[in-house]
Amino acid sequence: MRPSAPPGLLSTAWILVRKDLLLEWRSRARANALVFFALASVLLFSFALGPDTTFLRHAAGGTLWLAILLASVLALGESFRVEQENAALDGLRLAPADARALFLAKALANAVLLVLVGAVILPVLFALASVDAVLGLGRLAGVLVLGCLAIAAPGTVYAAIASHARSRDVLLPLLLFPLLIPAVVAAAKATSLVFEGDPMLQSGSWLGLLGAFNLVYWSLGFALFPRVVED
Amino acid sequence: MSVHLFLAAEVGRIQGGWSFVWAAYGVTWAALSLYALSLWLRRPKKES
Amino acid sequence: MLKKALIALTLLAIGLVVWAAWLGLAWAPPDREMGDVQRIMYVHVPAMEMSLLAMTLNFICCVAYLFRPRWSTDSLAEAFAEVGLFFGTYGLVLGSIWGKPTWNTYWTWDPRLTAMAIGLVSYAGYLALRRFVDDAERRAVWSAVVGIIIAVDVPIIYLSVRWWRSLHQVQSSPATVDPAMVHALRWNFVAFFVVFIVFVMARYAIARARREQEMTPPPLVLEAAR
Repeated sequence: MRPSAPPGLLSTAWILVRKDLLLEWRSRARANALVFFALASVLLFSFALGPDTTFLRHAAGGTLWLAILLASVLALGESFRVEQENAALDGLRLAPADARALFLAKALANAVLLVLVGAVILPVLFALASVDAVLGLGRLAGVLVLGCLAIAAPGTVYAAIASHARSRDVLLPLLLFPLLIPAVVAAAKATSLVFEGDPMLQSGSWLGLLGAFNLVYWSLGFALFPRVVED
Repeated sequence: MSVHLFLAAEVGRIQGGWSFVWAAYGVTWAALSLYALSLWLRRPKKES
Repeated sequence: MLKKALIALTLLAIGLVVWAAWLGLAWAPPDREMGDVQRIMYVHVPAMEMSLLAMTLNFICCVAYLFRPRWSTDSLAEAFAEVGLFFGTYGLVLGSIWGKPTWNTYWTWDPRLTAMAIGLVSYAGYLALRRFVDDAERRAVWSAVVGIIIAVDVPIIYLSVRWWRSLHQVQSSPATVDPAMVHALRWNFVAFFVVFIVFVMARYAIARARREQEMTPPPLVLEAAR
């Protein structure tokens, strides 16, 4: 009897994504914690930046992405802690699952989680900073997705590394934040333009930067992640 | 009149530059020395 | 033998730095517009060039390590990262000092400066990672991965002045610059390059020795084994 061929890269990835998202949905604890943390961050920023509503409106894009960034550190750190318990990562690797599929799955699941966090923050931000999606919700959703993908790709690689190192809670942000500066700046600027209108048509260049960032770091993550988790 | 024109000709140059220059070269030499010292202090010691 | 070479190179480096400093401070003419402040170029530019060189060489070592894992490659990567961080940090300070009289500010978020700041923090993170991983082989693989990821910034630092409208000057070619200045700058490059080599050699030796120490079992175990 011939053994069945191991599933292909994309189908493996898809199975793993569904597993991670299912685990998230079943417990919901992590997602809840993330959302509350992100909301608390938004409130803190609003209070710390002061009562001037004009200023808050201008700062809304940045506030959104700072909250998502801070939440991402928690999300990314947790995504590998799950595997460390019961040595689940070894189990995954022993199964004929390509490490690259694991990367795609983890990174995608993390991105989905971050998009969710962003989607919950946005209505609160609309209210607190009295902003509106002047350029449309479609554009806003696009920026949100691109930005979260940009955070998730290198974040997943670094989270895998940091989860096995000492001082992992310090190491992950230390490595990740400088790297993400261009992506966060681009996402924040693009979001601000959605909130305030874009008379000089600058969105294109910021979205282009975000797109290029995604392209580079998804490719690098895809190529390098196997070396990170191999033994 | 000509005195004013003469002064105008000098305005292109930045004044008081030397303090910045000495600061820069001072930082350079201090940095080089300190790093060299750090390398010296961390040098591999042979087992006796 | 290597120690003698290092001592000789160190003396050469000191001599060259003194010679190049004299050229920059006394021999070269002041700039038509910037005056004497422009002399900072002779220390700032070589520092940045050495930093970018080190970062590039670190990238090459990281790639090489993933294809052929060798302790020498890993140690060399560590040396390049630290030396690159060193030159870049004081180079950035020098640029800041130069910025005050010329741009009227110590800092600005222009593309090149931003990219350089990101780069320096990234390499500091790289070195921190190496400090926080105890398993030598994992440390080597993971820092190679991180080194490759952060190297994406290096061409951005270099090309940012060409791609975006930047406050920082575009690279000038020798054809457009006063030959005396070119001469002084070239000698400063040579001087700081020799310094670069000395520092990399010394730092490599330190890294290599640490690897050796990690690999050899402690004396008590050796005693028991005998």
